[in-house]
Amino acid sequence: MLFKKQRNLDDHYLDSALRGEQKGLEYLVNAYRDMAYTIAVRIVGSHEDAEEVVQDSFLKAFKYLDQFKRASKFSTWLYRIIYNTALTKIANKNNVTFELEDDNEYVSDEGSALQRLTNSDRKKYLGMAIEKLKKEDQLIITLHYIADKSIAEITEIMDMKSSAIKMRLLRSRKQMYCELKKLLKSEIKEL
Amino acid sequence: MKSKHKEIDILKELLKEHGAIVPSEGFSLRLMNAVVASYKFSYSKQYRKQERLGKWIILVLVACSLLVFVELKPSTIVLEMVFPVFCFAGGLIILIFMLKKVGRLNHH
Repeated sequence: MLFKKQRNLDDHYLDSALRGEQKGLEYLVNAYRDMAYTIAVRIVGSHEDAEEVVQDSFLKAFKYLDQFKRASKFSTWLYRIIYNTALTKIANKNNVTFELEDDNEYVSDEGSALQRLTNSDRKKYLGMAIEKLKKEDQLIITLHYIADKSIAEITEIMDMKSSAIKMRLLRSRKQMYCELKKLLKSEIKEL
Repeated sequence: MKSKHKEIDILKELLKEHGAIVPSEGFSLRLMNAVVASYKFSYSKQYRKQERLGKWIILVLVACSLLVFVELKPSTIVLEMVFPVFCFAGGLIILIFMLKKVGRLNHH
């Protein structure tokens, strides 16, 4: 019901944007800016690059807005553009590798620093737990749990098989939960 | 099974609450300005042809109306009829100019 309402709202403002009205553009930018930025940061890893990716993606999306067929949600279409733009950015920079099949654990030197931190900053801990995941797994977790995207929609955005998405989601969830359990012992009990 | 659901719920709650990364206000403002400026430009470029065609159609319609008006021989028409028609046309022109001005102000 909520998704249907959101989609109707999106359609209304999409029509408005297609008519060249500023309010439509403003709504769409405000509604998806933060999520777009989160996705971009998860892929490119730096805030400066993420800003470039988000700006390029939004400009690209609105340039071809009249070609958006509404077969999927506007957010799915936009996140796919962001995903591809971010991958191009990484490829151009050529200094970050995007591992698809490597199952080695990502080792971070932040582990020891975490022990010294207090339990109060959940956001920081969560960020750290996410960063321990592989880049693609970070993105899958972000899309599924923060952007409320279904497995089918993630499949469309990332161009991967749904079985692979499910498997990665399960693995990342387990890994994250273990990590958070270590970091947020008392808070998890409270929850 | 129960613990798995609990695990998912905890993660969901934490991610929903703290997972999103919010960009700076400066960037948000820059992004909005860039999107609006570039879209307005491409939008007007996209419809420039249609706009030109529309102007030609209006020109032809006005020419036809004038032709009909001349054919009707206005000197033979009662003066009381001509005056309201001219007032209406004048008002229409003023309205079009006013709307154009308001549109331009909104654009800036």
